Amino acid sequence: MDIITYLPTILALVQQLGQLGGLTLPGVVGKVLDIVEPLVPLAVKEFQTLGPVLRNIIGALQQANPTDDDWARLSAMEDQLDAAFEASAVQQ
Amino acid sequence: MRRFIIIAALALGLGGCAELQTLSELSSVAQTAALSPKAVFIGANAFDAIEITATNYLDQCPRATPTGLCYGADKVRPVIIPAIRSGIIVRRKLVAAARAAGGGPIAAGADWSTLRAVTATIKDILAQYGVPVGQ
Repeated sequence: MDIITYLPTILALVQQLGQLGGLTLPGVVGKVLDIVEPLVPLAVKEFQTLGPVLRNIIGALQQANPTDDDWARLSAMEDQLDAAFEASAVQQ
Repeated sequence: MRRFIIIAALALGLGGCAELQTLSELSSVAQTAALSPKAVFIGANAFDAIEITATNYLDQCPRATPTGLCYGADKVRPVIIPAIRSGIIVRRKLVAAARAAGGGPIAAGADWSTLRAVTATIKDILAQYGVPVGQ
């Protein structure tokens, strides 16, 4: 399974967990971040396909009352997506 | 170009997801004095959806072309680049404030007005030049 299939699968799982209340269980957000964080640079390279997916994952996790440490990790991921915008903005 | 169209279709498809239904939800969040965390996240997610569309547009359209998707790039780029930069700043402030409020309401001040205005401005100009912008 490549990342273009893998990341949307993670999003679907996160959304299911959110609906079931599972994201607020202790440690769950951190575990998801352990999986997603290493994929962020790859997702940024495939921004057109995976940027929306990654944004949705971040948004869902931000609303799950993460710990301060997890919040900082989410903010760092968000910063990488904002950097992708900036890279597109400055290209001529 | 073909890839951009596919991705635009994908983005529209993702509009079915809760987080990207936010463009229509944003308009339903009243301009009130106090904002719930949910309202802040709706606003932030609506902006995020626009930021992604804008990023893809800027990637595809570094300059204007006589026809096609990029024909208005010389008009669109100077509007959306500073608008997105402003939006990123206020989105960060609002989300951080919502987080710090611990589930309670936050004051809807100038940052909230800016986020709403920026989102609407970018959505409008992209739509004006035929760029698909989710829901």
